[in-house]
This record gives sequence, C-alpha cells and structure tokens, in this order.
Amino acid sequence: MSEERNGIAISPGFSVGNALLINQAKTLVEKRKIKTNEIIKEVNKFQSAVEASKDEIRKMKLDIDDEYKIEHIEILDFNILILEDEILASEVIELITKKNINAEWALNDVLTNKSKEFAFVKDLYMQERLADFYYLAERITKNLRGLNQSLIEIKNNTILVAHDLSPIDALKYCKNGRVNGILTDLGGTTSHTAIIARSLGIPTIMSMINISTSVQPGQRIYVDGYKGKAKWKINKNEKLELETLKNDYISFQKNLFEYSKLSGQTKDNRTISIKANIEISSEVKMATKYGAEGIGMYRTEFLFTSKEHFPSLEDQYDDYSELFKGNLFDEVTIRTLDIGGDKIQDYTHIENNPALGLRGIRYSLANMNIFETQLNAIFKVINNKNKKIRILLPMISNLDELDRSLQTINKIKNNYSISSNLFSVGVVIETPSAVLMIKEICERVDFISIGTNDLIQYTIAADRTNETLEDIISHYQPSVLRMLKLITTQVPEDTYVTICGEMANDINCLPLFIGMGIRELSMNYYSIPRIKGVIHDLSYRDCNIILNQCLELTSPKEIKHKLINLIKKEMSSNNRIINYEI
Amino acid sequence: MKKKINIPNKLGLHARASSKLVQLTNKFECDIQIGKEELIVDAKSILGLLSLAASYNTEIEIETNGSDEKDAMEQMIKLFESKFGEEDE
Repeated sequence: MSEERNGIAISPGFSVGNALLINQAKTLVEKRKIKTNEIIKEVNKFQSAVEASKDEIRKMKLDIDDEYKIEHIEILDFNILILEDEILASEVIELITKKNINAEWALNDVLTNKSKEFAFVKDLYMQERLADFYYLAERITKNLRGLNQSLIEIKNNTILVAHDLSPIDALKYCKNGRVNGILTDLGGTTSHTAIIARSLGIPTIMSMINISTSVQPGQRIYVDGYKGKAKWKINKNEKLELETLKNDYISFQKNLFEYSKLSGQTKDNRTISIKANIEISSEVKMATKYGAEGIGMYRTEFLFTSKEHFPSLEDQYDDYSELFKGNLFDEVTIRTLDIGGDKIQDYTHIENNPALGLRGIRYSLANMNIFETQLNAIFKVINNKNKKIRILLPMISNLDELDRSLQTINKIKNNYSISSNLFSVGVVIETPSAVLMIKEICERVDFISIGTNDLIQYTIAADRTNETLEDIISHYQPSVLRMLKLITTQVPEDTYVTICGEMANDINCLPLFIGMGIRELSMNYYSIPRIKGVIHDLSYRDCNIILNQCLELTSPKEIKHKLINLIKKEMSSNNRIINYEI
Repeated sequence: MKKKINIPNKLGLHARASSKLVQLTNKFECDIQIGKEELIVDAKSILGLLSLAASYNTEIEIETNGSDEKDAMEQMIKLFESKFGEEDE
C-alpha cells in the first residue's frame, strides 16, 4: 500500500526524488559540569564555534548568485549579526564561567531565555524570524561538537525531509539545483524558508505531521506542491500514472512562460479574463510574471492578522497603493475583511462554530469603525492614484446586510470627489441564501463573484477542513453544479460574473464555466499558465453541450468522468495539458 | 545627546530594519541606546533591538554618548528618515 501525507502547500510544482533526511530531530543537548581549570578552554571552544558558524554563512554569501541575490543576502546578514551580538556572547560566556557548565548547555539556556523575552510579541512575522535563532543555536552546537555538516552530499533528484529547515540550510542545499522538493514537520507560509523555496521554485510542503520520522532515507517520494500532498511506497500502477504526471509537469514548466502570455480565448473566440487571487500586496509582481490580467481578489486578512494591532488608515493606504506599484494593473479587486471571531486575538467571545458565526461582512457591520477605515483607505487610493478599484463584500447572506454595506460605502465615498467609473461594488456569492436572493442582489451591485469554496461547504453542509469528508465535499457534486446553474441563469445580462475559489483552477471544471458564460476566473497565480493553456483548446459550443449533459447526471463520479473525457479529447492533439491529479 | 523619533517605516523595527541599524551603529565609538517606554536597549545589539518590538509609529528615544555622538545621531536619524529604504514613494 502506498502512503501519503498532507501539509500546507508552500511552493507549487510537481516532482519526484529520493529522500534525504537531515537534522531528523532537534539536537539533544547534554548538561555537564566543567572544572574551573577547563573554563578558559570551554570559552575558547564556544568562541571558535561561533566564528566557524559565521565563516560558514559568509562563505555561503559569496556563493549566492541568483535572481533574488539581495533578499537572500539580507537574510544571511541578519543571521551573521545575531552571531556577532555582544549580548548573546557575553551571556553565554558568563554562564560558562560563573556556573561551570559546558558551552552547549549555556548556549541553549541563553537562547531559551531569549525566546521567552520575545514570546510576548504577537506579531506572526516576528515570530517566524525567531525560528532563525534556533537554527543558529543548532549550527553552533554542531560546530562545538566538531561535526561537519558540509559532509552531507546532495545527489541529483533529492527530496529534503526535515523536522524543520533553516533558511540558511535551504539556501545551502538547494542552490546547486539538485533538490527537487522540500518536506518539513514544522513551518508556515511566511517563514524565511518558505520565501526562499518559492523564489527558487522548489515544490515545498510544510506542517506535515511527523513526515521526518515516517519516511526512510533514500525512499522515492512524489511531491505535489500544488495540493500540499506527498506520496511514497508507490505500487507499479500508481507509478506509471505519477511518472506521466511528473513528465507532463516538466514539459509544462519548460513552456510555462509561453502559456502565461496567451490570452484567455476559446477556439470560437470567447474571451475569459484570467486574474489572480493574492494575499500579500507585493505578490502583484509574481502574478504578472505568471500571466495574470488583473487582480481578481486581494484578500486583506493577512494585512489584518500579521500585526499586533489592526492596520491604521495610513497602513492600509500604503498597502493598497502597493497593488498599483509599477503600474502593472489599471484595476484591482479588494475584498473587504473576511475574518471570523476565531481569528481575532483579543476577541473575548469564543464561537462554537466560527464558519457560521460573526464573520465576513457580519463582522464588518458589527465593527463599523474597522469597516469604515478600510473603505476610507480604499477610496483614498482611488482618489490619489486615479486608479480603478472593485470592492468585493464577503459573506453577504441577506439584503439588509447588503443595503447597510452599500449605505456605508456611499457615505465614505462622499468624503472624496471620485467619478463613479473609478469604482464598482460586488458581492461574493458564497451562501445558499444569497443564491436564492440573487436577482435582488444583482439589482443593487455591479458584479458578483462566486466564492466556490464556501458555497460548496455551505451547500453540502460539510466542513472543508475536515479530511474525512473529502469525498463528500467534492466540487463535482451534482448539487454544486445545479447551484452554479441556478446563479448564472438568474443573473441579468449587465451583471458581470466572476469565479474565485479553488474550483476555478481545476482544469476539468473549465468547460462548465465556459459553458455557463462566465467572463472572469480568478485563481492562485501559479495556476494561470495551465488554465490559459487549456482554454485555448476548448470551444464555447462544446462546453455548453457538456454542461447541459453534466446537469443531467446524478453522481460526482460520472460528472468528473465526463469532464475529464472532454479535456482528454480536446487536448489529445497537443501535449500542452498537465493533469496532475493524484 | 538625546532625541525622540517615531518609527517611520510601516514594518517597524523588524529583522531587516534592525540589521541595517546595527550595521550602522557598530561603526561608531560612542555608546548608543534606544528606549521605548521603560525599556532601554543597546542599539549595537540585534537581539536588543528585536526585543524592543517597536512597531510603526511607536515613539522611541535615541541616546548617544561619546566622542562621535553627534555624527552617530545624525546618521541614525537619516537612516530612520529613509524608512530603511522600504518604501519607494
């Protein structure tokens, strides 16, 4: 039986390689009393271990020569400064000399205390940088013990598997192009290591429970960095399938930028605008690189949760202005805060069921000052930069919420003299209730964006984060299809309809959207070239026929099968497609 | 000499800004301290600066004390005013 494990998808891509296990567990440190006449020797040992660690990092700095040189060097410099820090050195030396204990223990003791000092810093960004301290402690410890890490030889096609991976080691091991993937037990999206992995284009999955103790050295592992899934102990049949996927991915990668330049046009000249969903404003650069024609949804949650305090009007103004930096896009879509009570730290009332609680527009309407500040920042950007912004309201489930939101938008807008063609307002259709009120909603707004993730979760009444429900919560469920159809048939001609959500980057679902006459799809930027490559080989006519056939079907399996067959048929004449379903 | 300043860059004294500040302060002979509320740290120490956790718009007080204190103060203020090169506009 093959084995698989999920984690957080950090860096996209599909690859295979042999496991190299590094630093399998946190270094164990022993506490030892030393004799008074050994103190000087122990202090010297500590200082030379620090020097050796610094030299290693300095050497790495010289070796760096890539597109992200400046950023990578800054990360290394930060690490060097910590090693040079007087506080660190003096506290460790004091412990060694006053308490007669060994250097390893003293170092770890000081760093443990330091981390307590920093524990009160709520800032996630800051917390992740603190991880760098521990990596340094391990590096010094290794040098104290005289083990030489550089003895590890990286062969071609290596998948690095670690409990945790420092940004320094990530750079060191990955720079020769031999590493095909990274899997770790710990880590998150905003860590230095994640930033490095993405910039180097190495498929990476983090927060995989016990991955470092589950795979054997040398084991062949398939890594799907799109879905955050790794597989090993593969049988013959599966192997054939996975190898095909891998080869498709490799040839696709080669043509990635060719696809990214395509327009989203079908064979019979229907144009679908392909845009990007982003979470950090600076991602606009990457989005353009991958061929995004605009920002279909900027999720503002990260901006709100990455700081100790909610961002001020100025913070938000600066952040939203960043979206227009370099004049990459004339128009962007900003989704107002979609946050649930569970994500707010000083929120005193804990909800039993946050997905059904005070979230999205409900939270904004209950916290008018936060909502008004966000709207003010948006209108200030429109006003000062003379750029178009689409305002997208999440979790609208009734007309009262919508009317109150629109009144507030109108009130804030009147603080500025903005021509009405510079902004538009839309609603994320993600509750069945909104679907049933769609006609009245469309009378009030300029566009709607179908948020498939939540719409599916609320339609099926199944938690999308619950892995045991994975089969039930499929977007191939006939009820989901009928729900989408219910929306699109009722929407008046002049309402612009877009799709945002995972379903938009599943190539098998493309025929459904094309068939329904959807004009815009917004997705993770790295999915864009793949989707553009497929649209070109489809026609509205065929898609419409398939859509109607699918609407007659009653099982998710049949629907998926039908869609895959169409894709396979249309794509058989050219090998553009990558279907990495595993 | 002493001088008060508000943290001008939106990311605050994070890893990158602190690195730049430490690289500058270590060029000077004089003692340099930075205080936030009742906490005072050595501005030549990256660990010290990080422990301040000074975010955007926080008021801090810089104190330089020694032969090149004036020069140090001027250059530090200049670095703060440049927002550590984080914002282009």
